[in-house]
Amino acid sequence: MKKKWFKNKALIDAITKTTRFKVIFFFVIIIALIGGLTDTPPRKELFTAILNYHSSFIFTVGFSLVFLLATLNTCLEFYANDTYLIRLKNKKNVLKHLIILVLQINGLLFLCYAIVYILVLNINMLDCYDTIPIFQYSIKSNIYSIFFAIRAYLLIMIFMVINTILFVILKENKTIIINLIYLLIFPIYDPLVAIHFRLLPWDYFSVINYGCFAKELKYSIFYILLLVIVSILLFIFATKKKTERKSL
Amino acid sequence: MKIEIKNVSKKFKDINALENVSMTLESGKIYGFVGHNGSGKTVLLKLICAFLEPSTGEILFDGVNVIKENSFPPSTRALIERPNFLSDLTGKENLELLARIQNKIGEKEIEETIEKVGLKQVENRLYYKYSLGMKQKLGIAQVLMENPDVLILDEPFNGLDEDSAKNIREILLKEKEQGKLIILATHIKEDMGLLCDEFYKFNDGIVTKEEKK
Repeated sequence: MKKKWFKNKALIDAITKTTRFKVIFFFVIIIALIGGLTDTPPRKELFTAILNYHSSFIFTVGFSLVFLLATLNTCLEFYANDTYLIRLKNKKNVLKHLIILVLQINGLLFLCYAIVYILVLNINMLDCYDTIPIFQYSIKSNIYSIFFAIRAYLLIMIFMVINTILFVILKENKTIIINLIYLLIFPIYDPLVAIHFRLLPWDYFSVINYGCFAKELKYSIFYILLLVIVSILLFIFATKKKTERKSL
Repeated sequence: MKIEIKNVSKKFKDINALENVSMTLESGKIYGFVGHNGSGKTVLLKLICAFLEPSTGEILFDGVNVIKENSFPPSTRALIERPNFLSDLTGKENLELLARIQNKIGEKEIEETIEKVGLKQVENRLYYKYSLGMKQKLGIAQVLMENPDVLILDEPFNGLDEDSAKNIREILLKEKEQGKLIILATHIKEDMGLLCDEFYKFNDGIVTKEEKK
């Protein structure tokens, strides 16, 4: 375990020292600062501020883009190291290693974002820790915020796994185009017109009334499982399809 | 180990990097790929390593088409172009990192290889402080350390001083005696004269076998 950590730590260190990663990190911090400093609802409740910002357009699109760039950067750096790749024996192992690395680096970015955002928001809001009811749910805004954050984390990570596999299958340009098309749907799409089960990821980055919390929880779990199945199918396809790296 | 390259061509958009290349490479020999920069040597090395796929034709390792199986060639190590080591690790740590992927060798083998290529004095120096020659030696060390059956070296003598180049030549001859299949690519034929058993000349994607003089 210690050896495995050393192996990945060395790679993570190398990738996080690249200029591209530093630029991405800078944008993550900017997004955290914007959220922490500017979003102050009239009653100044901390948890309402968290939910407001994280269901906003600027957050969803900005966050998705920086994580996409971080993922592509990790993929490009990883594939540049052919002495490493040839020792992984086959392309299935290569993809497995790459996905783990992407999850670790994106997890690190997410953690940095959360720390900076919460810290700045706390300073900005001072001691406004009041909770308010969320719709007619049986839980209050503090618990709902934690649920919202965990769901956002899981969704971002699964989407980045999907993007990693898309990178391997389609290369970086087509992956960016697919993501941009996806992101452009967001401003013209109104979640209120959606039917009961929501398929677009934006619905899970928005505060939408499902009638009761249990129903929202159930739909969220179902949606995450659906994405996991999509990731597994893409993984199987990518490891069976013959792929070569332009960068090699 | 026997590598059969059968009617392999490689196209990049409209450019023919390699045209209908066929050759058979066998253990216990050193093969020299000679040609000017951009003649297709490195492309063929990458195809052999399965980093690229041929546009047509196939490459077999003991009869197995590794590209079809989405694998990399068995027991093969390569130094192609600039080795991409981690700059904030020492030379030795970089080798340890690579060795841990397959866990075939331990500290002892890594130390022996470092000694063999002449990096003992600087094994604990950070990689980014290495000179071009030291980086090249480290690249060669990662090829040698796990005792592979096939060694692929692209411009192995780049940046090496005369003594170091002589040392590497001796190492390669010893590896050959142990039955290894070695492929060397260079744009300077004189590098290879004493080493290679067979030569292949690369000229704008066309490969011809040359007799050893």
